[in-house]
Amino acid sequence: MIKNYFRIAFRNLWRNKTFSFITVFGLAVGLTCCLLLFMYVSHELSYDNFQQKADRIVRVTMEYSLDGNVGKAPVTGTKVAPEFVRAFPEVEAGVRLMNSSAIVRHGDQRFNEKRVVYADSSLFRVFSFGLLKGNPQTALAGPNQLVLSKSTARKYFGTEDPLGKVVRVDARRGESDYTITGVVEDAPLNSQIKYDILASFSTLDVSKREEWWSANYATYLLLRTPEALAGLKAKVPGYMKSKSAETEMVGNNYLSYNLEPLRRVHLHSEVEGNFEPNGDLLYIYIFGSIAVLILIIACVNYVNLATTRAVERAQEVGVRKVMGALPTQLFGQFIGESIIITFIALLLGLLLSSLALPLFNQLSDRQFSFNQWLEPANLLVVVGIGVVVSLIAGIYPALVLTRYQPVRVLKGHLKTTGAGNFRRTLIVFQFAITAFLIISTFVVQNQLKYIQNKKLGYDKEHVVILPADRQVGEKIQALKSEFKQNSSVQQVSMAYESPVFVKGGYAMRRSDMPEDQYKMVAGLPVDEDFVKTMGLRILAGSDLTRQDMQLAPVMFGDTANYYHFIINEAAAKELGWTPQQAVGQKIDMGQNRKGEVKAVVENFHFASMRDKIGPLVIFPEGYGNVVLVKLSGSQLTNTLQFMENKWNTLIPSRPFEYEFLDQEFNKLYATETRTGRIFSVFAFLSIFLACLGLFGLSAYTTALRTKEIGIRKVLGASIGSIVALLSQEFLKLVLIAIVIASPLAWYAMDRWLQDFTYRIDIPWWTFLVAGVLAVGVALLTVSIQSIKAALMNPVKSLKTE
Amino acid sequence: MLRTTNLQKVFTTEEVETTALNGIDMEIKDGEFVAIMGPSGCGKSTLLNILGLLDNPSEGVYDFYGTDVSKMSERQRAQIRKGNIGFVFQSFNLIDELTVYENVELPLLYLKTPPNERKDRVEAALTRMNMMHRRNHFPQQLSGGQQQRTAIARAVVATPKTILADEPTGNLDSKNGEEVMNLLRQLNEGGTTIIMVTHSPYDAGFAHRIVNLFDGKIVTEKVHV
Repeated sequence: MIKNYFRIAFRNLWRNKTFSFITVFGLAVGLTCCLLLFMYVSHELSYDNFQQKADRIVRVTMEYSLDGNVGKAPVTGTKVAPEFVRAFPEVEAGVRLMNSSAIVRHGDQRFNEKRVVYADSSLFRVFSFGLLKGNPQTALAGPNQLVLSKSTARKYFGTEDPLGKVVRVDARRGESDYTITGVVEDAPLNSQIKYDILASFSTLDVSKREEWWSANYATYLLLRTPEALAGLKAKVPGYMKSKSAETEMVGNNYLSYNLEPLRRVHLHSEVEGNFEPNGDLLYIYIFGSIAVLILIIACVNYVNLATTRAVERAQEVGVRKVMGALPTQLFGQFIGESIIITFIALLLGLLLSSLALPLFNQLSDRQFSFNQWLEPANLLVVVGIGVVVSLIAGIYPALVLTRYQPVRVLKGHLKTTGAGNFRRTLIVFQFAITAFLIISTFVVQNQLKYIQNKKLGYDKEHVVILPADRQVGEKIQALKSEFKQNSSVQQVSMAYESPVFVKGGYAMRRSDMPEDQYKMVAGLPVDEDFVKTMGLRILAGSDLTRQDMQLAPVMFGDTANYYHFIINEAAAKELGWTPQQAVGQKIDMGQNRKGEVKAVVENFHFASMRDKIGPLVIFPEGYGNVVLVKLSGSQLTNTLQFMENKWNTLIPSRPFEYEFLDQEFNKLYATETRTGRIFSVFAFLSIFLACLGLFGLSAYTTALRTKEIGIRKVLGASIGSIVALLSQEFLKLVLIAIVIASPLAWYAMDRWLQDFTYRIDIPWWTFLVAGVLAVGVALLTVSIQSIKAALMNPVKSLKTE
Repeated sequence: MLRTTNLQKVFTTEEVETTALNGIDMEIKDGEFVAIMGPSGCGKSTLLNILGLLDNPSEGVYDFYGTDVSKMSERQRAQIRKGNIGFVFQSFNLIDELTVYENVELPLLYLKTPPNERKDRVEAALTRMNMMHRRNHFPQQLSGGQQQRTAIARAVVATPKTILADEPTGNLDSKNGEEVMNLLRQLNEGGTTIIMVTHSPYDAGFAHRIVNLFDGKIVTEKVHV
């Protein structure tokens, strides 16, 4: 019997090629989307699951309040880990990590390593990063020890054993030799801690001092039991209060720490990640919903086509019933068919998703591999998806088919399937999803365009960023004059970081404010050419000069005599001055930076458009991590080549690397850009799938109305009126769908835009364009069928009865 | 023996009530060959459907070999149907996706006949209907006469006591029609009860008895000698 079912299912598929193609291919595309998005979502949800002690590890984040300004940061001072291990019996171990970069040299090889992580030797006790070579107790115990990741070890040493080898490391704090004491597995893709090289924390000077402040270090604690977390969390604020003399946080000011369970950091933390940007739960929901919606569209196609085709299968059902088939047997047969179709589609979907994987990796900025599907847990999910889809798609058609009365179908009484309204509802549903995705795509793209085109207050075009260090700083004047020999180089400046996203937080006070009162501001150390290089507009006062620079410190930690500050409009306002009033006023940025306002610049976007432009202070200091070069924009390749040559002569110790400022800028909106791209692709796919279904459906309904069309033509109907007749029903449904989808899309997108302080209003034409697009494509799809039917010779169409 | 007493069938739609059968009393003995005739809309097919347990009467009693089946559910009727009644339709009603062999095999599959026995019986039925050489063809590849012979093979494969034929020659030319009627006669001579609805007086001539229906009532009965 089962064999008979299989046979009939395959023969049905084979005989109705259009139907089979639409159903199988549509489901396969839907399943492909679902599989890929599932991969993404499950990857995000799997963060740090591989850590065997994950339930006992917590990340420590800092929370402080200065004059009512509350700040939170993912880093702490060096004291937290050792102090907490001593003070709290529930803490078993602590580990401090610092993310850094360094130039590493071995023989002739020279690489700029961007993922160098300084770590306490307790690292291997707390985390489950598999040490392949070396002793976990001692590998990071002494100063100047390195543990290389497997692929880094291969990069430097090939198949040679790296243990005991010495490499030269040029980090910001100076150059020295390091001994390789271990090889560790590469950091898993779903690890919040990412490294290529681990270096011993004891190498750092700061490791010798325990400080609450100078918060630059990620701190993780291993608790004795998972249950200890709640109690410990409650104890910390009180404990820190008892240390207020040490932390110098008195009165309403405080410094305290939050503890986050390791596995919640990537998606649930309110502060950012230490080693890479955290994921966002919102996007997990968005992508998960898109996956489900696309799959629903594909299922709807199946349901619609199968129920429409039920008319053709009715005779078979009738015969089988007359022959004694029981309803349950027929139900089983049709569910079986849906399982067969779904699993063919699933196999095709797996094939398609493996082909689309490189594209999807690009789209989602991840590195997934097809092998992930072959893991038992994932395979189970794949099969599960197949079963669920078979049932969802198969149950309704099976019910419709099983319900047929043999007496009626065998006599040919059955002309409509009686499922018309249900099918119409499904089409509305399908196109509502499609319209929703189209509108959302438009809004996301518009907001991204708005961000791209918004006047930033500085010039982001043709600015090259060169990563720099102490040695570059020492030669910056020579570098400037060498670069400027090329006429395409307009300005060169050194700064602590790029103006795209200024992270440095400082406590600033007007000199007439009480000693213990501060305003939290962003601060950016620069040199005298910064304002010119970035094209900032000075509203009052004058630009920094060489003389101002000479008063400022050259090395980190030096103290200066007198500072000349440039503040932005927002800072002037915060302090209660107009730009003109501000010039010449005395302010200071902490104990060691006292001076006066030299100029006020127009507000510019030095952070994400999500946040309002806050107060910013730019001040002269002679060290920096980036060199900014403003180019004219002509002969870019030649100019870059020229700069590289000059660089290599002047600074042989460091490879020449560059990035454009607008690339850096775009990174700020990487998540949004990614979302925009994913929305576009999946909106396109959803409209494709919906139209595929509509095409099949209109083919069948038109075929069913062949006799009607023939009669109308005999009676004198024009081709146009018949096309209109056949198309209008579908068009009505699409219009209803747009009406339903518009307010929903508006609501969802408005919520999304609320994340941005600087945002677009959703333009009314978005809905119009989405509507026209959906209607247009639907019309095109349906008219292919209806024109064909309308052109048919009526004699022929009447004969089909 | 089949016996109906005061059989009524009323079809109700939203607006009209149509009485298709209005008090049918009839008795069909084992081994009889009965033809039911009458103009279109007189209720022949409705009667045949009820006799074939495809439908229930609105009122009255239908005694099917000693069991009153008039109030049974579709499920119960399906159970009695299989193995007891074979059907032959005007439009053949073969399943297009199955071959001749597979179509004939279908009733035995639902009867859960063991594979070996199934094969023997399907082959016997096909041989009897002279269709063995076409066993692997699909219905569309056959002539009307061949399709109807396949349908008859399917009707007899489970050796039912009764065969119901609804205008079995309606879609056939006279030569093929003659052949089908001869087959039915042979089956009847072998002991199978045959009830046939027909418009054709010639076909009706093959029956022992002709029942004439008009407006849902039996108007005349004629017995051949």
